[in-house]
Amino acid sequence: MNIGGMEWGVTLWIDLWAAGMAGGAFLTAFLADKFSGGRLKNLFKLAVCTGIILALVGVALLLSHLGNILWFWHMFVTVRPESVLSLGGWILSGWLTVACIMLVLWIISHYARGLKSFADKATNVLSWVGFVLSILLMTYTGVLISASSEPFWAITPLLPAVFVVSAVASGVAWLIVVSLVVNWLNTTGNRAWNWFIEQFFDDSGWQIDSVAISKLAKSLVVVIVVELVVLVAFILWLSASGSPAATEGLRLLTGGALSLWFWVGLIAAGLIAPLILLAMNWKRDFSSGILAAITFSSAGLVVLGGLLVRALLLIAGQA
Amino acid sequence: MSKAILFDLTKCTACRGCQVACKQWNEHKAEETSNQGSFENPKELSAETWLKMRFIETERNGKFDWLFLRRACLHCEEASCAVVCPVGAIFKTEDGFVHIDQEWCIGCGTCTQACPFHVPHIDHHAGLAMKCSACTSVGYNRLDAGLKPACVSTCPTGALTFGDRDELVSAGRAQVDKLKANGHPNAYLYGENELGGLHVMYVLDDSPSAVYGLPDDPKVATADVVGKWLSGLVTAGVLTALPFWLVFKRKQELAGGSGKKGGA
Repeated sequence: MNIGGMEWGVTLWIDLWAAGMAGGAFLTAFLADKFSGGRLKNLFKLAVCTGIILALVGVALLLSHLGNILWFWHMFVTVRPESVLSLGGWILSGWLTVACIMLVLWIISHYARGLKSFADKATNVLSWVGFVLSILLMTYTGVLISASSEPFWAITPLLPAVFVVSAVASGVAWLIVVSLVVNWLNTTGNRAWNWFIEQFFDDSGWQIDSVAISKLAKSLVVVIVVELVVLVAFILWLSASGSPAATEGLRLLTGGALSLWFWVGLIAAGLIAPLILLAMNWKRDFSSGILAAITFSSAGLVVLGGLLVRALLLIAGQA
Repeated sequence: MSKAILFDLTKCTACRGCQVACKQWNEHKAEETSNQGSFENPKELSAETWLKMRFIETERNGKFDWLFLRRACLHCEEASCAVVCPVGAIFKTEDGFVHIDQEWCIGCGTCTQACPFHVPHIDHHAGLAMKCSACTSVGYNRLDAGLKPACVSTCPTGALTFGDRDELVSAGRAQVDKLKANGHPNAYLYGENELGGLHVMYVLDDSPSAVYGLPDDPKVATADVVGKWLSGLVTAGVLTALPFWLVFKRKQELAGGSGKKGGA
């Protein structure tokens, strides 16, 4: 198996992972904030700011994947709804634009208090647009792969579902990781960090509510269960497809050269272990002491599992 | 008028004159290869090899058979590569051949994954997708000069013919009927109807999929893309509605509104 020679290689795995996770983090924080009556604005800001970084990584890798990088602009003078990559390019650009405008509005409202009311209204409208674009962004990463002639990817409509649920799981896990990091940075008294936060955000700092982190961890438990269900359905569909190429890809994944990465890396370390660790501590405070370390590690494993899902599925489809 | 190439494998001797003519006309480099245990060389199509002969060793009716198949772009009427191209660099010529605009291609590789025959390849030096253009490439256009494609011109046995597609369909059907009457019940004209009609058709003496490894009913890569979008969107919908609502609905547990330390 020549992984280095595969047309859709490591840059695309990371691109799809980073873009999906940006969408998942946005969607998670948006819903968490809405369902909790607007009490999680800082979490939402964190999702948008770190999501911009993830999306920029995705854009950079998408461009580096192009054979002719200097002609990338051809994508932005062409609208081809029938091409998933064309749609995806526009969705990713739209998402980034919305997220960046929101960031600018927050900064403006910080410096020009008179504009706060306008900025709040505008960011509220943009957050709904961003929510829709986040769903499209997560979905596009899966549809791009499945709109192909490789039976392993194309024979089942469940591949986009796998990508979406994995993007949401990675997004929730990413938010947990960065929330814990931000809260820890707040306790260090680091001057540069404090200056950064005070310049761009709130005078009171950027603390993420510990209850919110616990709730994110609980959400992650539910999303992991959904991901396992969707993965099982995907595997069953492939095995029942009767397509030799799809069955061969599945054999590679579950019993061949990729099986160790699949069973130990993805299923055991990336899903089951975090699920057990987080479920065992369901009623406790996930954000302090040893439990914070466990939560951080579990979420980190889910984030890495999200990358592994994409890597393994892309390799198995091209092997 | 729609044009096509007809490949009658019952007339092919696998001299590979077509393979060499393609390389010569398009000024493609030779590739370093290794022995794969067959006369077939190179192993696969590439950015430098747009046409190659496949050598198939098989057993039919208890006898060993050595079969030859031309492998190059089949110039689908409903071309997956053209549909998925994000910049519209792949289009059909007036003759019906599928052409990649080398001045507009960005080398994303989407076409390489979409083609049901795995034909396009990325030239990593030029950063462009490459495949047979039926000799319509800019600067190498034989058809505009009133010539046949190089592979057809060089074929010494008449296994390759070029002309109006309707006439070649009739000729192909007649050859298939002859084969059927001469002990080849599974003879088939591949490309007459597949993907809206291919502009390179094969007269096969046996089953396309079982013997020659061709897809029985190839589909455009985006044929069921609406279902795939729905699959993702429905999953996103279920995920957005359920877990977050269940977990975050008890908002009184959270501290105060936005902007407050420890709460927002």
